[in-house]
Amino acid sequence: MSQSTLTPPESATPTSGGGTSVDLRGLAGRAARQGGLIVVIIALVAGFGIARPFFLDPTNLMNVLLQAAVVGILALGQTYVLLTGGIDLSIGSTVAVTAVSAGLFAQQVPAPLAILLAIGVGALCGLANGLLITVTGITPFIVTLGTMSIYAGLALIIAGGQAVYGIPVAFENALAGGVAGIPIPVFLFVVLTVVSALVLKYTIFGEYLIAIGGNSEVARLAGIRVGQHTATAYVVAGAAAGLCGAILTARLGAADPTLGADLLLTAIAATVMGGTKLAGGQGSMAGAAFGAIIIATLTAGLTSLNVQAFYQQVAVGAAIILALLVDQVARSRKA
Amino acid sequence: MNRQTRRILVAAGLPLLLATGCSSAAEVSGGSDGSSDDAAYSYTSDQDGVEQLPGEEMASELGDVEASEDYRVGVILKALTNQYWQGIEKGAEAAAEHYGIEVTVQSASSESAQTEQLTIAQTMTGQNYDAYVVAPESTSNLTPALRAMQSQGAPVVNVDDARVPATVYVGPDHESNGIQAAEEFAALYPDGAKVAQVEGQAGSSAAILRIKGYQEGVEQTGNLDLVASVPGDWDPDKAFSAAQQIIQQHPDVKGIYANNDTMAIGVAKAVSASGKDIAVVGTDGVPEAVAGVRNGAMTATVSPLPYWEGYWAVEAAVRLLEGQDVAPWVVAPAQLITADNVDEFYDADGQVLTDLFE
Repeated sequence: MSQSTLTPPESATPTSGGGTSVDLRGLAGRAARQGGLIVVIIALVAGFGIARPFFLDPTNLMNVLLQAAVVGILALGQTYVLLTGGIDLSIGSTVAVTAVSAGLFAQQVPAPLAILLAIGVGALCGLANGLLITVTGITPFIVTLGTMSIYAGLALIIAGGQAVYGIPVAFENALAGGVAGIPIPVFLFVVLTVVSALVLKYTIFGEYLIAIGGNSEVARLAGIRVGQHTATAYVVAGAAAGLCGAILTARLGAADPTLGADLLLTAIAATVMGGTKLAGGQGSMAGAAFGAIIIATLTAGLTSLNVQAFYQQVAVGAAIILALLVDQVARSRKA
Repeated sequence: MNRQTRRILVAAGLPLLLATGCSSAAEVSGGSDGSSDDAAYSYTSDQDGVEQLPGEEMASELGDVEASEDYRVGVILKALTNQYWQGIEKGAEAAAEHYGIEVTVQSASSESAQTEQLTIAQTMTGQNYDAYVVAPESTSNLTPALRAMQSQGAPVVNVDDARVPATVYVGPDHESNGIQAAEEFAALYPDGAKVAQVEGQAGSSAAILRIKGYQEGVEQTGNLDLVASVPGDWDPDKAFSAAQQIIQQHPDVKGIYANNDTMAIGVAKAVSASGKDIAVVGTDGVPEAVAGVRNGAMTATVSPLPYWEGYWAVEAAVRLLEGQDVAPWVVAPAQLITADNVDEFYDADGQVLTDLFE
């Protein structure tokens, strides 16, 4: 492992040519893209604010961020997986399992421990995905499609088919409360985005994930333990879902075993909107976070304009395609 | 026949209503000066054993009411993809027109989009409506939004399915839906019969209560035998195959109850494909099921009359804003719709009659 310092991932990354100048250009392009996403967010907020002044109310803006936090944290986890060229369809169901687990743990143990246990349950779900994929060689899509159903069923079984009530106030406060006016989930969302971006950019693990997603065979030949790192990506995604499950249980004051069904596609949408390739090998943590914020802003803003949910779906879909289209055009101009 | 039954019930219940109605009648005059802002609302409609008031008697018990201001009411529904919820929306809008107030109806994109619905609800509370009508996807997914509504001091009307802490709950007794279905089978087969059930989405409160009610109803009748109870997830295709399986395993089954009409339609198709004489009962009263009852594909549907649920929800909101004291549970009927009485409740297009209770 130590012999493969920086060279293998670089040679393994198919960024057309390889070499520092290309990488720099890629970095610049990505930075420009993040800038573009920020401009989109500001434009959306300003636009909705002009149409509905209440939208600029700090309470409302914080609310939008709070909605974005759960999807955003899931999107960060999904980004790790997508980087390897895989996909995790089970994160929504993992949220359900961990939400219910968090609710049941919270009734037995102190809040911090219950949160850690919920994250642990999520990590276990991720580990099962990772092992099934790397050991059996079945494609991630199929494995996680299977576990999506398994975890959804487990959530119902654990909870006995009904929502778990009687969540202690201490647990609610531990995750649903706020520090200096900033809700804890938003705080966690920001911290995890920064940490993930740093992991991706400055750690060997980040480089390996990109290398595996670029070409797993080349990565293997370069001495990277592909299976181990791929499985780790699923564990991270599962743990992220576990945190989201705990957050939702704390926010809602109950754990519903059918929770999370609508989170999966939204999280994937946020991830790809942020510039992560489904084929793997390329992605951005900040992009995933901004993608989640854009989707939450769109939903909240369109609601404030009294746009019906059916039209909102069209708008969110169009935003995803538009974001990728702009990216394509920007790329082809540079080439 | 059913109308007559109701009139008799109304007459029988009148003394009781007068007794409970006294205090509220006094508050009608007190609240009409528009001092509704000072009213403190309670949010305890989801507690056990709360006072009930049949929806169709709300007007007669509480008297006429007029909106003294141009109230804005925010309505948050589950998903408008089901005709049932469209019925509630229509009723809410009709009531708004009647009282000359403004309603804004928003809904999630599907009945499982719990967090999306929360985002929508949170944004709506940010707009400070005078009152809210909510139909949460689950008993817990709107909790933060409901807390915000309470801290605004706005009356909250909870409509239909999942019961949450609100000022007034307008909805059916889901258990009695199931009981009604069992009683219909008992009436059809006085000598006893094997019956089955196709269940709604696991975990949904409507499903849980209807399943429970049906099981209890079957037990109470004594001569019915519940031979199968299988999941159909509110889905017509799943219900179709579930019914096929039931018919194969129990060739002598005589009646199948589906927890909602969407599934009952699937069950009816499976029954007609089998060529057997099996009674199908659903719940909801959506137009397609009403047509099924008319043409004989379905024996009956138990409907809470969704149009009226929506209407009464907005009516209750107006009454609360005007300072009236509305019972915490405005009960929507569990009306058995059969070929005999379908014309009393539905027009030729399968829409609930809008002058039913006027």
